[in-house]
Amino acid sequence: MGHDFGTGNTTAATSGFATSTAEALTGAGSTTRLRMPPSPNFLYCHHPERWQIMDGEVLPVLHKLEQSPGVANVSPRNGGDMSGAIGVKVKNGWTIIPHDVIPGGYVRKFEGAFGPIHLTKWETPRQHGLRAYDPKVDTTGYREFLRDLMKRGVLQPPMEHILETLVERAQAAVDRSAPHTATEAGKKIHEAEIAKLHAIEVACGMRQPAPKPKTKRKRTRSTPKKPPEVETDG
Amino acid sequence: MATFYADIADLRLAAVLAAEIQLLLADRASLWRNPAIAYLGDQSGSGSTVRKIPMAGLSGYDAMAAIAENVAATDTAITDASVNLTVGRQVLQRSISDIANATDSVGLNVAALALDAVGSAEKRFTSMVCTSGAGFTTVAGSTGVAMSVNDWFSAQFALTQASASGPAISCLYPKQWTDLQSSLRAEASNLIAYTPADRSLLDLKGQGFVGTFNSVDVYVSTQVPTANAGADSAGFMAVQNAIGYIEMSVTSIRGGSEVIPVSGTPIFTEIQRSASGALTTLVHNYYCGVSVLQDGMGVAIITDR
Repeated sequence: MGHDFGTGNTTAATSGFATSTAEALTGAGSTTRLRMPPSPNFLYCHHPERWQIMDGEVLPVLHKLEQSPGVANVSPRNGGDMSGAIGVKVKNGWTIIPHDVIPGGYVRKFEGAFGPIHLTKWETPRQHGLRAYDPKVDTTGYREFLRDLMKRGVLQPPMEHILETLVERAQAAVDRSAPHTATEAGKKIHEAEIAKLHAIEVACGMRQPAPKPKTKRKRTRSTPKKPPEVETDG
Repeated sequence: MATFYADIADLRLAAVLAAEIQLLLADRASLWRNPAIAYLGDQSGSGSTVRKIPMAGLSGYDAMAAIAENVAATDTAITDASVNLTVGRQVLQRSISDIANATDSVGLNVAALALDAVGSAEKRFTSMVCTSGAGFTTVAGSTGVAMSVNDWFSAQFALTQASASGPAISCLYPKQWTDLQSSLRAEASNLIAYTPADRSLLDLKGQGFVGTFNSVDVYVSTQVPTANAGADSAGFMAVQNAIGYIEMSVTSIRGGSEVIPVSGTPIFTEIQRSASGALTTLVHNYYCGVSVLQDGMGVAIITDR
């Protein structure tokens, strides 16, 4: 017999050598490494003028300050000295959000096939065979993070004139779409812009939220009434 | 007995290589040397990796003021500002063994790897510009919502209202561009829908320059970064000189066995030989730094990815 594939005397457990589970192999090779393009580590930062409406809430638009020497004043020293870049950002009014603003940080590092990949903790990489897809995004979790930054005072709420600008822009979009409601497509665009404007106004406290449509209370079936007792001649 | 292909496996090959390599699908769009991105000089021999770009409020920044004939004029202070650009090393290294090089029959050899220098530098440069553009303070678009003509106008109007003038460019993620195309298709404004040039914006063009919309040159690139934890793309629209770059030429390389400079650029390839490993290593180098010069001259466009 050439090989003993059974539980012979030469198994790893008894050979005296350390062992570990092998990487799962497919026809396309090892799939344990992500085939996404490498991306550098980063710090989130925020400027007081960058705001957006997310599902009817006014929340900050963060920017990634990447540890990428040569971009936005990141120095090549020590593999990417961020101090100069941070200094410039702070001088221009940006708030730098440190990794430890939440337990465990907001950046996740993956060992990619072409180098390290840094994603936010709300992105889950997806790969099928050799093809990597855009990561799945936990928008609810990210929104909660943004909300938390404001609640804890890491970021200050938007100033009044910023809110006014948001409303003005939405109103301008409504005005632009208004003359083009002759077609069905134009009408839909106009209605969508109005809905967006209302959402922004509600988020900015300039409009009361529309009352929720009343839902018909479903009649619950109660225990069937006992039929009236019939007096019987006894 | 007849001779069948299946019977002469030792005399035939399972497959032969075609004589020509087909390039793998990739985004090769480039913003390198685009005139809208300001070139601010070569950092070589300057004494620092950082270049400070001085800015002054002259040539129409301040207006004259009326004054009475018999009143002495007072000084108006000059408004000044500056922005720093820091040069960094960008690199791509590839190694090829002697056996891999010697058995080449299709053109994948040391010479082909050397020619890869410019394409890889261009791609990196484009990525650096897109990363910078995502950081403009002014933002147009809505998270999770497909880009529309309205978002385009928001960006354009923000530039106009900020007095940003000059030729403008926009760089969008492919999905942002196709969403804009869909929106253009449904556009009801006669001014846009019946402009012959706008019709051509719906043509299939792939990456890179895809056309001019409202006098803004539009580029499409997959190097456009994400925003909102990957849910959106952060493209940009900016006028000329909103973003700038510096480069650094390395002219005095000592001890290198072979250095191949790319003519007219600071890119160079250094060839390194490992005799014991029978390996030829090519190291492509490009030193550059990119940054936003004037924040008010650009707008980040953040829409669904």
